[in-house]
Amino acid sequence: MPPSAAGNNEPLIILENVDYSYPVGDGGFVRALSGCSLKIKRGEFVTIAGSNGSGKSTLAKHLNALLLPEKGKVLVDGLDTSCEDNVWEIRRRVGMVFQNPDNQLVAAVSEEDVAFGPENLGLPPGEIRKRVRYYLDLLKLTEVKDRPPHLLSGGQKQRLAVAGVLAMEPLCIVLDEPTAMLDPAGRRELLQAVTKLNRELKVTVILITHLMEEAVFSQRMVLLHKGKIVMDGTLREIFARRERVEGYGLVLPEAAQLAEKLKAVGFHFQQLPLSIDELVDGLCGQLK
Amino acid sequence: MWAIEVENLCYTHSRGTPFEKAALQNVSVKIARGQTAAIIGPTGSGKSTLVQHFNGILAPQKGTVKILGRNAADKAVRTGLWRQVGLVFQYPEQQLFEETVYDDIAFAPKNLGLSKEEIKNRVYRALNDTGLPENILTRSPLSLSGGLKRRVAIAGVLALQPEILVLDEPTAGMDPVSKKQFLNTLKKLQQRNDITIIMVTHSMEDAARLADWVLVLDDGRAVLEGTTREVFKQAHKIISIGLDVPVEVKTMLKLRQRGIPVRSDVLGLDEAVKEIVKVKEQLKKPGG
Repeated sequence: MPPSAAGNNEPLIILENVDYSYPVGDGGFVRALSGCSLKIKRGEFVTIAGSNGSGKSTLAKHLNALLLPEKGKVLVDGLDTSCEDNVWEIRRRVGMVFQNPDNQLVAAVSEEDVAFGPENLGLPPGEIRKRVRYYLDLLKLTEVKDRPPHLLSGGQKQRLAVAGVLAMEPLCIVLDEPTAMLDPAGRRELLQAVTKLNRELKVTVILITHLMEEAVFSQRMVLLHKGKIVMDGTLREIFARRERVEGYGLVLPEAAQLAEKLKAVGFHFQQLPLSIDELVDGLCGQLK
Repeated sequence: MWAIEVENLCYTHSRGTPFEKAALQNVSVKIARGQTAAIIGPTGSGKSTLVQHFNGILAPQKGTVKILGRNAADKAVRTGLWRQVGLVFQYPEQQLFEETVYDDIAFAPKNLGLSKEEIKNRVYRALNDTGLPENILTRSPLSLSGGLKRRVAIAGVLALQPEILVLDEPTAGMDPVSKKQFLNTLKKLQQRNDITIIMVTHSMEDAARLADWVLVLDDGRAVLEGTTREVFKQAHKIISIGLDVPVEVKTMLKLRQRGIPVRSDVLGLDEAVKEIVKVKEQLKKPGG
Protein backbone atom coordinates (compact mmCIF):
# COMPACT_ATOMS: atom_id res chain seq x y z
CA MET A 1 0.00 0.00 0.00
CA PRO A 2 1.23 3.52 -0.66
CA PRO A 3 2.19 5.54 2.40
CA SER A 4 -0.55 7.78 3.66
CA ALA A 5 -0.10 11.43 2.75
CA ALA A 6 -2.56 12.85 5.23
CA GLY A 7 -2.81 11.85 8.88
CA ASN A 8 -4.53 8.54 9.59
CA ASN A 9 -7.36 10.23 11.39
CA GLU A 10 -8.25 12.35 8.39
CA PRO A 11 -11.04 11.05 6.13
CA LEU A 12 -9.63 9.23 3.10
CA ILE A 13 -11.95 10.96 0.69
CA ILE A 14 -13.55 14.37 0.98
CA LEU A 15 -15.97 15.87 -1.53
CA GLU A 16 -16.84 19.51 -1.01
CA ASN A 17 -19.79 20.95 -2.89
CA VAL A 18 -19.00 19.15 -6.12
CA ASP A 19 -20.85 20.13 -9.31
CA TYR A 20 -20.41 18.40 -12.63
CA SER A 21 -22.21 18.63 -16.00
CA TYR A 22 -21.95 16.63 -19.20
CA PRO A 23 -22.18 18.34 -22.56
CA VAL A 24 -25.04 17.10 -24.75
CA GLY A 25 -25.31 17.06 -28.53
CA ASP A 26 -26.99 20.44 -29.11
CA GLY A 27 -24.49 22.55 -27.15
CA GLY A 28 -26.39 22.29 -23.86
CA PHE A 29 -25.40 20.60 -20.65
CA VAL A 30 -26.90 17.99 -18.39
CA ARG A 31 -26.21 18.47 -14.72
CA ALA A 32 -24.95 15.14 -13.33
CA LEU A 33 -23.83 16.19 -9.84
CA SER A 34 -24.88 19.21 -7.87
CA GLY A 35 -23.56 20.32 -4.51
CA CYS A 36 -22.29 16.89 -3.45
CA SER A 37 -20.47 16.87 -0.12
CA LEU A 38 -19.28 13.61 1.39
CA LYS A 39 -16.58 12.29 3.72
CA ILE A 40 -15.40 8.71 3.62
CA LYS A 41 -13.29 7.45 6.49
CA ARG A 42 -10.35 5.10 6.17
CA GLY A 43 -11.46 1.49 6.33
CA GLU A 44 -15.13 2.22 5.73
CA PHE A 45 -17.34 0.08 3.49
CA VAL A 46 -19.82 2.43 1.88
CA THR A 47 -22.54 1.73 -0.67
CA ILE A 48 -23.47 4.51 -3.05
CA ALA A 49 -26.94 3.79 -4.36
CA GLY A 50 -29.32 5.51 -6.73
CA SER A 51 -31.43 4.84 -9.80
CA ASN A 52 -30.04 4.77 -13.38
CA GLY A 53 -28.80 8.21 -14.31
CA SER A 54 -28.70 9.47 -10.70
CA GLY A 55 -25.01 10.35 -10.96
CA LYS A 56 -23.46 7.31 -9.24
CA SER A 57 -20.89 6.55 -11.92
CA THR A 58 -20.10 10.24 -12.38
CA LEU A 59 -19.41 10.53 -8.68
CA ALA A 60 -17.26 7.40 -8.77
CA LYS A 61 -15.13 8.84 -11.56
CA HIS A 62 -14.36 11.86 -9.39
CA LEU A 63 -12.78 9.63 -6.77
CA ASN A 64 -9.68 8.90 -8.82
CA ALA A 65 -9.47 12.02 -10.97
CA LEU A 66 -11.02 10.51 -14.09
CA LEU A 67 -13.38 13.45 -13.91
CA LEU A 68 -12.60 16.77 -12.26
CA PRO A 69 -15.22 18.83 -10.47
CA GLU A 70 -16.57 21.81 -12.34
CA LYS A 71 -17.10 23.49 -9.00
CA GLY A 72 -16.05 22.38 -5.52
CA LYS A 73 -13.18 20.14 -4.52
CA VAL A 74 -12.28 16.46 -4.20
CA LEU A 75 -9.49 15.43 -1.81
CA VAL A 76 -8.11 11.90 -1.78
CA ASP A 77 -5.83 11.20 1.16
CA GLY A 78 -5.32 14.96 1.36
CA LEU A 79 -4.43 15.26 -2.33
CA ASP A 80 -6.51 17.62 -4.48
CA THR A 81 -7.67 15.80 -7.65
CA SER A 82 -7.66 19.00 -9.70
CA CYS A 83 -3.90 19.36 -9.29
CA GLU A 84 -2.34 17.46 -12.19
CA ASP A 85 0.80 16.52 -10.26
CA ASN A 86 -1.31 14.51 -7.83
CA VAL A 87 -3.04 12.28 -10.38
CA TRP A 88 -0.50 9.45 -10.32
CA GLU A 89 -0.46 9.34 -6.50
CA ILE A 90 -4.26 9.46 -6.37
CA ARG A 91 -4.63 6.54 -8.77
CA ARG A 92 -2.19 4.48 -6.69
CA ARG A 93 -4.54 5.00 -3.78
CA VAL A 94 -7.91 4.53 -5.44
CA GLY A 95 -8.46 1.56 -7.74
CA MET A 96 -11.54 1.44 -9.92
CA VAL A 97 -13.52 -1.49 -11.26
CA PHE A 98 -15.94 -0.50 -14.00
CA GLN A 99 -19.38 -1.78 -15.00
CA ASN A 100 -18.08 -3.42 -18.13
CA PRO A 101 -14.84 -5.35 -17.64
CA ASP A 102 -14.05 -5.31 -21.37
CA ASN A 103 -13.09 -1.68 -20.95
CA GLN A 104 -10.29 -2.40 -18.55
CA LEU A 105 -8.70 -5.65 -19.69
CA VAL A 106 -5.49 -4.89 -21.54
CA ALA A 107 -3.28 -7.96 -21.85
CA ALA A 108 -3.32 -10.96 -24.20
CA VAL A 109 -3.19 -13.46 -21.35
CA SER A 110 -5.21 -13.29 -18.12
CA GLU A 111 -2.21 -13.64 -15.82
CA GLU A 112 -0.45 -10.75 -17.55
CA ASP A 113 -3.51 -8.64 -17.11
CA VAL A 114 -3.22 -8.94 -13.35
CA ALA A 115 0.52 -8.22 -13.55
CA PHE A 116 0.01 -5.03 -15.59
CA GLY A 117 -0.72 -2.72 -12.64
CA PRO A 118 2.04 -3.99 -10.31
CA GLU A 119 4.54 -3.79 -13.19
CA ASN A 120 3.66 -0.14 -13.67
CA LEU A 121 4.23 0.46 -9.98
CA GLY A 122 7.81 -0.72 -10.61
CA LEU A 123 7.62 -3.59 -8.12
CA PRO A 124 10.33 -6.29 -8.11
CA PRO A 125 9.46 -9.40 -10.22
CA GLY A 126 9.23 -11.66 -7.17
CA GLU A 127 6.62 -9.39 -5.57
CA ILE A 128 4.68 -9.15 -8.84
CA ARG A 129 4.56 -12.93 -9.14
CA LYS A 130 3.44 -13.26 -5.53
CA ARG A 131 0.61 -10.77 -5.98
CA VAL A 132 -0.53 -12.25 -9.29
CA ARG A 133 -0.74 -15.71 -7.74
CA TYR A 134 -2.51 -14.44 -4.64
CA TYR A 135 -5.17 -12.36 -6.36
CA LEU A 136 -5.85 -14.91 -9.12
CA ASP A 137 -6.45 -17.42 -6.35
CA LEU A 138 -8.59 -15.03 -4.31
CA LEU A 139 -10.88 -14.42 -7.29
CA LYS A 140 -10.82 -18.12 -8.26
CA LEU A 141 -9.12 -17.55 -11.61
CA THR A 142 -6.02 -19.72 -11.28
CA GLU A 143 -7.53 -22.27 -13.64
CA VAL A 144 -7.88 -19.77 -16.47
CA LYS A 145 -4.66 -17.82 -15.91
CA ASP A 146 -3.15 -18.84 -19.26
CA ARG A 147 -6.21 -18.01 -21.33
CA PRO A 148 -6.81 -14.79 -23.25
CA PRO A 149 -9.29 -12.53 -21.42
CA HIS A 150 -11.61 -12.30 -24.43
CA LEU A 151 -12.29 -16.03 -24.19
CA LEU A 152 -13.40 -15.83 -20.56
CA SER A 153 -17.07 -15.70 -19.59
CA GLY A 154 -18.61 -12.39 -18.52
CA GLY A 155 -18.27 -13.27 -14.86
CA GLN A 156 -14.69 -14.43 -15.17
CA LYS A 157 -13.79 -11.20 -16.97
CA GLN A 158 -15.31 -9.16 -14.20
CA ARG A 159 -13.35 -11.06 -11.56
CA LEU A 160 -10.19 -10.62 -13.64
CA ALA A 161 -10.73 -6.85 -13.70
CA VAL A 162 -11.10 -6.88 -9.91
CA ALA A 163 -7.95 -9.00 -9.50
CA GLY A 164 -6.01 -6.53 -11.65
CA VAL A 165 -7.05 -3.61 -9.46
CA LEU A 166 -6.49 -5.46 -6.19
CA ALA A 167 -2.99 -6.49 -7.29
CA MET A 168 -2.01 -2.81 -7.04
CA GLU A 169 -3.07 -2.97 -3.37
CA PRO A 170 -4.75 0.42 -3.31
CA LEU A 171 -5.96 2.09 -0.10
CA CYS A 172 -9.43 2.23 -1.56
CA ILE A 173 -11.28 0.29 -4.20
CA VAL A 174 -14.30 1.69 -6.02
CA LEU A 175 -16.55 -0.92 -7.62
CA ASP A 176 -19.06 0.43 -10.11
CA GLU A 177 -21.87 -2.15 -10.32
CA PRO A 178 -19.32 -4.93 -10.40
CA THR A 179 -21.75 -7.82 -10.16
CA ALA A 180 -24.18 -6.96 -12.95
CA MET A 181 -22.83 -9.80 -15.07
CA LEU A 182 -22.08 -12.35 -12.38
CA ASP A 183 -24.11 -15.40 -11.49
CA PRO A 184 -25.33 -15.73 -7.90
CA ALA A 185 -22.34 -17.79 -6.79
CA GLY A 186 -19.92 -15.41 -8.54
CA ARG A 187 -21.69 -12.46 -6.96
CA ARG A 188 -21.43 -13.95 -3.50
CA GLU A 189 -17.77 -14.82 -4.02
CA LEU A 190 -16.90 -11.34 -5.22
CA LEU A 191 -18.72 -9.65 -2.36
CA GLN A 192 -17.16 -12.00 0.16
CA ALA A 193 -13.69 -11.31 -1.29
CA VAL A 194 -14.34 -7.57 -1.08
CA THR A 195 -15.70 -7.85 2.47
CA LYS A 196 -12.59 -9.80 3.46
CA LEU A 197 -10.31 -7.13 1.98
CA ASN A 198 -12.20 -4.54 3.93
CA ARG A 199 -12.19 -6.38 7.27
CA GLU A 200 -8.75 -7.95 7.20
CA LEU A 201 -6.64 -5.62 5.08
CA LYS A 202 -8.63 -2.50 6.05
CA VAL A 203 -9.06 -1.52 2.40
CA THR A 204 -11.67 1.19 2.08
CA VAL A 205 -14.46 -0.08 -0.17
CA ILE A 206 -16.92 2.03 -2.12
CA LEU A 207 -19.58 -0.07 -3.80
CA ILE A 208 -21.82 1.52 -6.39
CA THR A 209 -25.01 -0.44 -6.83
CA HIS A 210 -28.76 -0.34 -6.89
CA LEU A 211 -29.07 -3.88 -5.63
CA MET A 212 -30.06 -3.63 -2.01
CA GLU A 213 -29.12 -7.26 -1.45
CA GLU A 214 -25.55 -6.12 -2.02
CA ALA A 215 -25.75 -3.00 0.08
CA VAL A 216 -26.32 -5.32 3.05
CA PHE A 217 -22.58 -6.05 3.05
CA SER A 218 -21.68 -2.43 3.80
CA GLN A 219 -21.89 -0.38 6.99
CA ARG A 220 -23.13 2.81 5.45
CA MET A 221 -25.25 3.84 2.51
CA VAL A 222 -25.27 7.10 0.60
CA LEU A 223 -28.24 7.65 -1.66
CA LEU A 224 -28.03 9.79 -4.77
CA HIS A 225 -31.02 11.20 -6.61
CA LYS A 226 -30.78 13.49 -9.64
CA GLY A 227 -27.17 14.31 -8.82
CA LYS A 228 -27.77 15.20 -5.19
CA ILE A 229 -26.96 13.28 -2.03
CA VAL A 230 -30.38 12.80 -0.47
CA MET A 231 -29.79 10.24 2.30
CA ASP A 232 -26.74 9.10 4.21
CA GLY A 233 -26.83 6.65 7.11
CA THR A 234 -26.75 3.03 8.22
CA LEU A 235 -28.75 0.59 6.15
CA ARG A 236 -31.34 0.14 8.82
CA GLU A 237 -31.83 3.89 9.19
CA ILE A 238 -32.35 4.20 5.47
CA PHE A 239 -34.59 1.17 4.97
CA ALA A 240 -36.75 2.30 7.89
CA ARG A 241 -37.91 5.09 5.57
CA ARG A 242 -39.26 2.82 2.93
CA GLU A 243 -41.50 5.28 1.16
CA ARG A 244 -38.74 7.80 0.78
CA VAL A 245 -36.35 5.17 -0.59
CA GLU A 246 -38.98 4.01 -3.06
CA GLY A 247 -39.55 7.59 -4.11
CA TYR A 248 -35.91 7.65 -5.18
CA GLY A 249 -36.49 4.65 -7.44
CA LEU A 250 -35.03 1.96 -5.20
CA VAL A 251 -36.66 -0.91 -3.38
CA LEU A 252 -35.98 -2.77 -0.14
CA PRO A 253 -34.02 -6.05 -0.26
CA GLU A 254 -36.32 -8.93 -1.25
CA ALA A 255 -36.19 -10.41 2.25
CA ALA A 256 -37.37 -7.08 3.68
CA GLN A 257 -40.17 -6.92 1.10
CA LEU A 258 -41.34 -10.35 2.16
CA ALA A 259 -41.18 -9.24 5.80
CA GLU A 260 -43.29 -6.18 4.98
CA LYS A 261 -45.93 -8.40 3.39
CA LEU A 262 -45.91 -10.67 6.47
CA LYS A 263 -46.28 -7.64 8.73
CA ALA A 264 -49.39 -6.69 6.79
CA VAL A 265 -51.02 -10.02 7.75
CA GLY A 266 -50.15 -9.80 11.45
CA PHE A 267 -46.57 -10.94 11.91
CA HIS A 268 -44.21 -8.82 14.00
CA PHE A 269 -40.51 -8.16 13.72
CA GLN A 270 -38.48 -6.29 16.35
CA GLN A 271 -36.49 -4.70 13.56
CA LEU A 272 -36.96 -4.98 9.83
CA PRO A 273 -35.13 -8.11 8.59
CA LEU A 274 -32.63 -7.24 5.86
CA SER A 275 -31.55 -10.79 5.00
CA ILE A 276 -33.28 -14.15 4.67
CA ASP A 277 -31.55 -15.42 7.83
CA GLU A 278 -32.85 -12.48 9.86
CA LEU A 279 -36.30 -13.04 8.40
CA VAL A 280 -36.31 -16.77 9.23
CA ASP A 281 -35.03 -16.06 12.76
CA GLY A 282 -37.83 -13.58 13.30
CA LEU A 283 -40.48 -15.93 11.90
CA CYS A 284 -39.55 -19.11 13.76
CA GLY A 285 -40.52 -17.73 17.17
CA GLN A 286 -43.96 -16.80 15.81
CA LEU A 287 -44.60 -20.16 14.18
CA LYS A 288 -43.55 -22.62 16.87
CA MET B 1 -45.43 -25.00 -33.85
CA TRP B 2 -41.98 -24.62 -32.41
CA ALA B 3 -40.15 -21.33 -32.36
CA ILE B 4 -36.87 -23.06 -31.60
CA GLU B 5 -35.87 -26.69 -32.10
CA VAL B 6 -32.35 -27.62 -31.12
CA GLU B 7 -31.14 -31.18 -31.36
CA ASN B 8 -27.83 -32.54 -30.10
CA LEU B 9 -26.11 -29.23 -30.60
CA CYS B 10 -22.37 -29.14 -29.95
CA TYR B 11 -20.20 -26.09 -30.18
CA THR B 12 -16.50 -25.68 -29.51
CA HIS B 13 -14.92 -22.24 -29.20
CA SER B 14 -11.58 -21.64 -30.96
CA ARG B 15 -11.70 -25.04 -32.61
CA GLY B 16 -8.28 -26.32 -33.61
CA THR B 17 -6.35 -23.93 -31.36
CA PRO B 18 -4.74 -24.50 -27.94
CA PHE B 19 -7.65 -22.56 -26.42
CA GLU B 20 -10.25 -25.00 -27.68
CA LYS B 21 -13.16 -25.20 -25.27
CA ALA B 22 -16.38 -27.14 -25.55
CA ALA B 23 -19.14 -24.62 -24.89
CA LEU B 24 -22.16 -26.79 -25.72
CA GLN B 25 -22.34 -30.54 -25.54
CA ASN B 26 -25.31 -32.37 -27.00
CA VAL B 27 -27.86 -29.78 -26.04
CA SER B 28 -31.44 -30.50 -27.13
CA VAL B 29 -34.23 -28.07 -26.43
CA LYS B 30 -37.58 -27.08 -27.87
CA ILE B 31 -39.32 -23.80 -27.23
CA ALA B 32 -42.92 -23.44 -28.34
CA ARG B 33 -44.19 -20.36 -30.14
CA GLY B 34 -45.67 -17.78 -27.83
CA GLN B 35 -43.87 -19.15 -24.82
CA THR B 36 -41.61 -17.24 -22.45
CA ALA B 37 -38.58 -19.30 -21.66
CA ALA B 38 -35.75 -18.57 -19.26
CA ILE B 39 -32.31 -20.02 -19.77
CA ILE B 40 -30.33 -20.04 -16.57
CA GLY B 41 -26.89 -21.31 -15.64
CA PRO B 42 -23.65 -20.22 -14.02
CA THR B 43 -21.27 -17.94 -15.94
CA GLY B 44 -19.46 -19.94 -18.58
CA SER B 45 -22.19 -22.58 -18.83
CA GLY B 46 -22.88 -21.89 -22.50
CA LYS B 47 -26.03 -19.76 -22.26
CA SER B 48 -24.83 -16.96 -24.53
CA THR B 49 -23.33 -19.44 -26.99
CA LEU B 50 -26.66 -21.24 -27.21
CA VAL B 51 -28.74 -18.13 -27.89
CA GLN B 52 -26.28 -16.84 -30.48
CA HIS B 53 -27.39 -19.83 -32.57
CA PHE B 54 -30.93 -18.49 -32.55
CA ASN B 55 -30.35 -15.52 -34.83
CA GLY B 56 -27.62 -16.83 -37.04
CA ILE B 57 -24.58 -15.30 -35.34
CA LEU B 58 -23.20 -18.77 -34.80
CA ALA B 59 -23.62 -21.65 -37.21
CA PRO B 60 -24.16 -25.07 -35.65
CA GLN B 61 -20.98 -27.16 -35.77
CA LYS B 62 -22.76 -30.40 -34.94
CA GLY B 63 -26.43 -31.13 -34.42
CA THR B 64 -29.38 -29.21 -35.81
CA VAL B 65 -30.93 -25.85 -35.07
CA LYS B 66 -34.32 -24.98 -36.54
CA ILE B 67 -35.75 -21.51 -36.11
CA LEU B 68 -39.44 -21.09 -36.92
CA GLY B 69 -39.20 -24.37 -38.77
CA ARG B 70 -36.24 -23.43 -40.95
CA ASN B 71 -32.87 -25.13 -40.71
CA ALA B 72 -30.09 -22.77 -39.61
CA ALA B 73 -27.46 -24.98 -41.23
CA ASP B 74 -28.43 -23.16 -44.44
CA LYS B 75 -26.47 -19.94 -44.72
CA ALA B 76 -29.27 -18.18 -46.59
CA VAL B 77 -31.61 -18.95 -43.67
CA ARG B 78 -29.08 -17.73 -41.11
CA THR B 79 -28.41 -14.42 -42.80
CA GLY B 80 -32.13 -13.66 -42.97
CA LEU B 81 -32.83 -14.50 -39.35
CA TRP B 82 -32.25 -10.97 -38.07
CA ARG B 83 -35.67 -10.01 -39.41
CA GLN B 84 -37.49 -12.49 -37.20
CA VAL B 85 -35.19 -12.86 -34.24
CA GLY B 86 -34.15 -9.80 -32.25
CA LEU B 87 -31.19 -10.34 -29.97
CA VAL B 88 -30.22 -8.00 -27.18
CA PHE B 89 -26.65 -8.71 -26.22
CA GLN B 90 -25.21 -9.15 -22.77
CA TYR B 91 -23.55 -5.74 -23.05
CA PRO B 92 -26.13 -3.91 -25.16
CA GLU B 93 -24.12 -0.70 -24.98
CA GLN B 94 -21.84 -2.39 -27.48
CA GLN B 95 -24.64 -2.40 -29.99
CA LEU B 96 -25.16 1.36 -29.84
CA PHE B 97 -23.39 3.34 -32.52
CA GLU B 98 -25.54 6.09 -34.00
CA GLU B 99 -25.19 9.79 -33.25
CA THR B 100 -28.56 10.16 -31.59
CA VAL B 101 -30.81 7.86 -29.65
CA TYR B 102 -33.51 8.35 -32.31
CA ASP B 103 -31.25 7.15 -35.13
CA ASP B 104 -30.08 4.25 -33.05
CA ILE B 105 -33.56 2.97 -32.36
CA ALA B 106 -34.58 3.67 -35.99
CA PHE B 107 -31.68 1.70 -37.45
CA ALA B 108 -33.36 -1.71 -37.75
CA PRO B 109 -36.73 -0.42 -39.02
CA LYS B 110 -34.83 1.62 -41.64
CA ASN B 111 -33.11 -1.55 -42.79
CA LEU B 112 -36.47 -3.23 -43.10
CA GLY B 113 -37.25 -0.56 -45.67
CA LEU B 114 -40.24 0.87 -43.80
CA SER B 115 -41.76 4.26 -44.49
CA LYS B 116 -40.59 7.29 -42.51
CA GLU B 117 -43.93 7.48 -40.76
CA GLU B 118 -43.86 3.82 -39.73
CA ILE B 119 -40.27 4.15 -38.53
CA LYS B 120 -41.26 7.10 -36.37
CA ASN B 121 -44.22 5.16 -34.93
CA ARG B 122 -42.01 2.26 -34.07
CA VAL B 123 -39.37 4.45 -32.42
CA TYR B 124 -41.96 6.10 -30.19
CA ARG B 125 -43.60 2.82 -29.34
CA ALA B 126 -40.26 1.26 -28.40
CA LEU B 127 -39.42 4.31 -26.33
CA ASN B 128 -42.67 3.98 -24.49
CA ASP B 129 -42.23 0.22 -24.00
CA THR B 130 -38.85 0.70 -22.37
CA GLY B 131 -40.01 3.63 -20.25
CA LEU B 132 -37.57 6.11 -21.76
CA PRO B 133 -38.38 9.84 -21.78
CA GLU B 134 -38.85 11.56 -25.15
CA ASN B 135 -36.19 14.18 -24.47
CA ILE B 136 -33.59 11.47 -24.68
CA LEU B 137 -34.10 11.10 -28.46
CA THR B 138 -31.74 13.90 -29.42
CA ARG B 139 -28.94 12.85 -27.09
CA SER B 140 -25.95 10.80 -28.07
CA PRO B 141 -26.39 7.23 -26.83
CA LEU B 142 -22.78 7.29 -25.73
CA SER B 143 -23.46 10.09 -23.23
CA LEU B 144 -26.03 8.05 -21.31
CA SER B 145 -25.57 6.13 -18.08
CA GLY B 146 -25.06 2.38 -18.21
CA GLY B 147 -28.65 1.54 -17.33
CA LEU B 148 -30.10 3.99 -19.85
CA LYS B 149 -27.85 2.69 -22.63
CA ARG B 150 -29.18 -0.78 -21.95
CA ARG B 151 -32.74 0.42 -22.32
CA VAL B 152 -31.95 2.24 -25.58
CA ALA B 153 -30.38 -0.94 -26.97
CA ILE B 154 -33.47 -2.92 -26.03
CA ALA B 155 -35.69 -0.27 -27.60
CA GLY B 156 -33.67 -0.66 -30.81
CA VAL B 157 -34.44 -4.36 -30.92
CA LEU B 158 -38.12 -3.91 -30.00
CA ALA B 159 -38.46 -1.48 -32.92
CA LEU B 160 -37.72 -4.43 -35.19
CA GLN B 161 -40.92 -6.05 -33.84
CA PRO B 162 -39.35 -9.50 -34.00
CA GLU B 163 -41.26 -12.79 -33.77
CA ILE B 164 -38.67 -14.11 -31.36
CA LEU B 165 -37.09 -11.79 -28.85
CA VAL B 166 -33.91 -13.06 -27.25
CA LEU B 167 -32.56 -11.11 -24.31
CA ASP B 168 -29.18 -11.92 -22.82
CA GLU B 169 -29.26 -10.72 -19.20
CA PRO B 170 -31.77 -7.98 -19.93
CA THR B 171 -32.16 -6.53 -16.44
CA ALA B 172 -28.53 -6.57 -15.37
CA GLY B 173 -27.62 -2.99 -14.56
CA MET B 174 -31.20 -1.72 -14.45
CA ASP B 175 -32.38 -0.02 -11.31
CA PRO B 176 -35.39 -1.59 -9.57
CA VAL B 177 -37.94 0.82 -11.00
CA SER B 178 -36.70 0.46 -14.60
CA LYS B 179 -36.52 -3.26 -14.03
CA LYS B 180 -40.11 -3.43 -12.88
CA GLN B 181 -41.20 -1.27 -15.80
CA PHE B 182 -39.27 -3.43 -18.21
CA LEU B 183 -40.65 -6.68 -16.82
CA ASN B 184 -44.14 -5.22 -17.16
CA THR B 185 -43.33 -4.42 -20.79
CA LEU B 186 -42.32 -8.01 -21.35
CA LYS B 187 -45.53 -9.14 -19.68
CA LYS B 188 -47.51 -6.95 -22.06
CA LEU B 189 -45.60 -8.38 -25.00
CA GLN B 190 -46.31 -11.89 -23.71
CA GLN B 191 -50.01 -11.23 -23.93
CA ARG B 192 -49.64 -10.79 -27.65
CA ASN B 193 -49.48 -14.49 -28.33
CA ASP B 194 -47.41 -14.17 -31.44
CA ILE B 195 -44.13 -13.34 -29.74
CA THR B 196 -41.74 -15.83 -28.23
CA ILE B 197 -39.50 -14.43 -25.53
CA ILE B 198 -36.30 -16.12 -24.52
CA MET B 199 -34.27 -14.63 -21.74
CA VAL B 200 -30.91 -15.59 -20.44
CA THR B 201 -30.76 -14.56 -16.84
CA HIS B 202 -29.02 -14.87 -13.50
CA SER B 203 -31.98 -13.36 -11.76
CA MET B 204 -34.02 -16.23 -10.41
CA GLU B 205 -36.67 -13.73 -9.35
CA ASP B 206 -37.08 -12.60 -12.98
CA ALA B 207 -37.28 -16.20 -14.16
CA ALA B 208 -39.80 -17.10 -11.47
CA ARG B 209 -41.98 -14.10 -12.21
CA LEU B 210 -41.97 -14.18 -15.97
CA ALA B 211 -41.09 -17.51 -17.51
CA ASP B 212 -43.49 -20.40 -18.23
CA TRP B 213 -40.63 -22.69 -18.84
CA VAL B 214 -37.01 -22.92 -17.65
CA LEU B 215 -33.88 -24.57 -19.04
CA VAL B 216 -30.87 -24.94 -16.75
CA LEU B 217 -27.43 -25.25 -18.34
CA ASP B 218 -24.29 -26.30 -16.53
CA ASP B 219 -20.92 -26.71 -18.19
CA GLY B 220 -22.42 -26.81 -21.67
CA ARG B 221 -25.05 -29.42 -20.87
CA ALA B 222 -28.79 -29.15 -20.28
CA VAL B 223 -29.21 -30.40 -16.70
CA LEU B 224 -32.81 -29.49 -15.88
CA GLU B 225 -35.81 -28.36 -17.84
CA GLY B 226 -39.50 -28.01 -17.26
CA THR B 227 -42.15 -25.62 -16.07
CA THR B 228 -40.86 -22.91 -13.79
CA ARG B 229 -42.44 -24.49 -10.73
CA GLU B 230 -41.07 -27.95 -11.51
CA VAL B 231 -37.57 -26.57 -11.97
CA PHE B 232 -37.46 -24.46 -8.82
CA LYS B 233 -38.77 -27.44 -6.87
CA GLN B 234 -35.35 -28.97 -7.46
CA ALA B 235 -33.78 -26.25 -5.35
CA HIS B 236 -30.89 -28.35 -4.12
CA LYS B 237 -29.78 -29.25 -7.59
CA ILE B 238 -29.95 -25.61 -8.66
CA ILE B 239 -27.95 -24.45 -5.64
CA SER B 240 -25.38 -27.21 -6.14
CA ILE B 241 -24.38 -25.81 -9.54
CA GLY B 242 -23.81 -22.33 -8.14
CA LEU B 243 -27.17 -20.78 -8.88
CA ASP B 244 -29.77 -19.45 -6.53
CA VAL B 245 -33.46 -20.01 -6.10
CA PRO B 246 -35.91 -17.10 -5.69
CA VAL B 247 -35.91 -15.47 -2.26
CA GLU B 248 -39.34 -16.93 -1.37
CA VAL B 249 -38.16 -20.48 -2.10
CA LYS B 250 -34.98 -19.93 -0.08
CA THR B 251 -36.98 -18.61 2.86
CA MET B 252 -39.26 -21.65 2.79
CA LEU B 253 -36.32 -24.04 2.63
CA LYS B 254 -34.72 -22.39 5.65
CA LEU B 255 -38.00 -22.56 7.57
CA ARG B 256 -38.21 -26.26 6.76
CA GLN B 257 -34.67 -26.75 8.09
CA ARG B 258 -35.90 -25.25 11.34
CA GLY B 259 -38.71 -27.80 11.50
CA ILE B 260 -41.56 -25.68 10.18
CA PRO B 261 -43.61 -27.74 7.70
CA VAL B 262 -44.10 -25.17 4.92
CA ARG B 263 -44.26 -26.13 1.25
CA SER B 264 -41.23 -24.98 -0.69
CA ASP B 265 -42.70 -24.94 -4.20
CA VAL B 266 -43.95 -21.39 -4.01
CA LEU B 267 -43.50 -18.79 -6.72
CA GLY B 268 -43.76 -15.12 -5.83
CA LEU B 269 -43.80 -13.39 -2.44
CA ASP B 270 -47.59 -13.52 -2.17
CA GLU B 271 -47.71 -17.30 -2.46
CA ALA B 272 -45.08 -17.53 0.27
CA VAL B 273 -47.08 -15.25 2.58
CA LYS B 274 -50.22 -17.35 2.03
CA GLU B 275 -48.37 -20.56 2.79
CA ILE B 276 -46.79 -19.18 5.98
CA VAL B 277 -50.16 -17.93 7.21
CA LYS B 278 -51.74 -21.32 6.46
CA VAL B 279 -49.06 -23.22 8.37
CA LYS B 280 -49.29 -20.80 11.28
CA GLU B 281 -53.01 -21.53 11.59
CA GLN B 282 -52.48 -25.29 11.36
CA LEU B 283 -49.82 -25.16 14.07
CA LYS B 284 -52.13 -23.15 16.34
CA LYS B 285 -54.88 -25.80 16.23
CA PRO B 286 -54.76 -28.17 19.20
CA GLY B 287 -53.00 -31.34 18.15
CA GLY B 288 -51.93 -29.65 14.90
